Amino acid sequence: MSSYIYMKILESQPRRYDRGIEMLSTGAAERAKHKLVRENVRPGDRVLEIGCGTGSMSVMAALAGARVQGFDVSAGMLEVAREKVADERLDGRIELFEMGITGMDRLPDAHFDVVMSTLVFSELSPDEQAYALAAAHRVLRPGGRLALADEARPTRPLYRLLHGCIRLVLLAITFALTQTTTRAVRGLDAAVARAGFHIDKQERSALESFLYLVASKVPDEDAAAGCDASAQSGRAGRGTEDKEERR
Amino acid sequence: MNRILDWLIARLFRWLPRSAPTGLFRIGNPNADSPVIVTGNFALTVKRVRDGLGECNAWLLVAHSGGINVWCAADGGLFTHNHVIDAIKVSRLADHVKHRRILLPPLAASGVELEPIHEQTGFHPHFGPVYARDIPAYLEARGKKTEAMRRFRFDLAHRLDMLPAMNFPIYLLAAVPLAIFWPQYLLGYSLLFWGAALVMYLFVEWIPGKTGWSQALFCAVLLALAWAGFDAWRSGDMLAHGGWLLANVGVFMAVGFDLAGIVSARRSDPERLLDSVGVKSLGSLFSEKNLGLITLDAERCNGCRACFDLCPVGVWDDLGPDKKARFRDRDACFACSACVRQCGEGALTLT
Repeated sequence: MSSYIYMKILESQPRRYDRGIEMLSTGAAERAKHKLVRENVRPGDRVLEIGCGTGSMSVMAALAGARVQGFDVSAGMLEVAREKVADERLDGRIELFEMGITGMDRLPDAHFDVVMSTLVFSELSPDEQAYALAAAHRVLRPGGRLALADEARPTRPLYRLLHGCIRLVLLAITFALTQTTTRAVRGLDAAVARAGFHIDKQERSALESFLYLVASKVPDEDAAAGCDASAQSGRAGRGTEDKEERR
Repeated sequence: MNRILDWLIARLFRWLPRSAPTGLFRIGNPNADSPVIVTGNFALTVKRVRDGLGECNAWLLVAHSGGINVWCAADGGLFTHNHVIDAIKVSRLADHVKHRRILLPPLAASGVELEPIHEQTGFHPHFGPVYARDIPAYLEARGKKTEAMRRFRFDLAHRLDMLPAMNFPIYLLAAVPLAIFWPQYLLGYSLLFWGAALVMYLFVEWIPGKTGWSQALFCAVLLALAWAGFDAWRSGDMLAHGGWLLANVGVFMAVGFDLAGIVSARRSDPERLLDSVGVKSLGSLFSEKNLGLITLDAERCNGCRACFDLCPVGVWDDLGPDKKARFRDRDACFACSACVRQCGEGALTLT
């Protein structure tokens, strides 16, 4: 396909990404980002954002007092992110890199307090998810937290049907206007547990279409017990809402 | 039934992304010496690459491109070296092959840089032929490209391929409201629309006019005259179908607005129009940087021939006597920025 117009429209797509996500998730993405930062990021934390896109959550984290490193594969998205960072005068607090998930190989071990990500894991294949989660586990300090929010398939059939209908309409309109799409993530809790994390919290939004997940890297001393625990929580998985462990 | 539906959706809704699974796939019975072909994860692209490879034994590495075709995705920043690097590392390609050579689609040249791929994975990336069906011959010739392998073919087959893909969404714009409010006009509109689209796409090479819109206008006026003449002869009232005459102009203009872009990757008319009246950007849709003309700084050119090799529309000639790049058909440039991106010396700009 070589439609010139389509090409040029895609080129400028990052400028419409935020609006697209807002429409498609009917605000859930924005709410999830705020919640994720509010509940997990504390002043002075070292935070890594996987797939920071246009940088809205990195900016929130920096405003909450964290030192943030964010990366994304798309140079266009990062251009928008850099503008946001400059607008908020956060230049010293946010570092942005253009790279994919395997770029995490270059980050130091046990360095971050929080690794966070929204609407990224749903875009990744199971192999890529496993790669990213293993890397996240490595770069987190013991006790550090992984906080993810993503679009999910509702578990109850009625909700699934309802969500499917709404989504189909939203998808068409949103793509026409902003060339933005998302997809639902599946089995993320199990993948997180397989990477050695302990799942602390797992919640769904009102229509069950948005998943919010917090997990922690079990400190070394009880690593053996931790493996066991994470495997168990992985099996118990969906629906269990353990109290989030506070430091 | 499902396959027919699938085929229809693939044709009619080609503007919408359709993802194929990413990762490393076996084509035939590849071994550690078999070639590695990289592509994006647009479902139709993956299918065509598989078909094109035919009986070859090869590894197919499908990287993320947002479910969009390689060309548009690369130009739109959705298919970059970062995506290729991720695909290589996540699939552990290095464990599957002994050699360190990968073949990239040249239409991705506007988004994929070679240097970072080599630096971060150790693999040597090469841009192969434009069409996957040429890959077997390319491999057979040990990586020598013919002129035809370098160019995108804007031929009849391409146009017929694009006809439903490009026009169905435009068709829907009027068809949906008509179907709801004025169903009596739907059949007439459908015939007019697809008739116009078929004529434009089949005969674009012979219809007078330099741009899609001028060609469309020529056809519309011709049809309007014939129609009005027929009405005058039959009923004495030239404007017996006045509304349809107007609709005819509208339909042709709708079909023609991106015709130049689709059939020959020239700039589309609306953009030309905006450009000529001094509008340099349209909100976030177009920005000034999209509107450049390709410029060569011969001082900097080191004669690497990347531009000649990668331009899908043949803007560049092979090196001149001074061993520098030179234009063959500068006007053919449609600012895809493939050569600009691949020029290691920064000798090319879109200004």
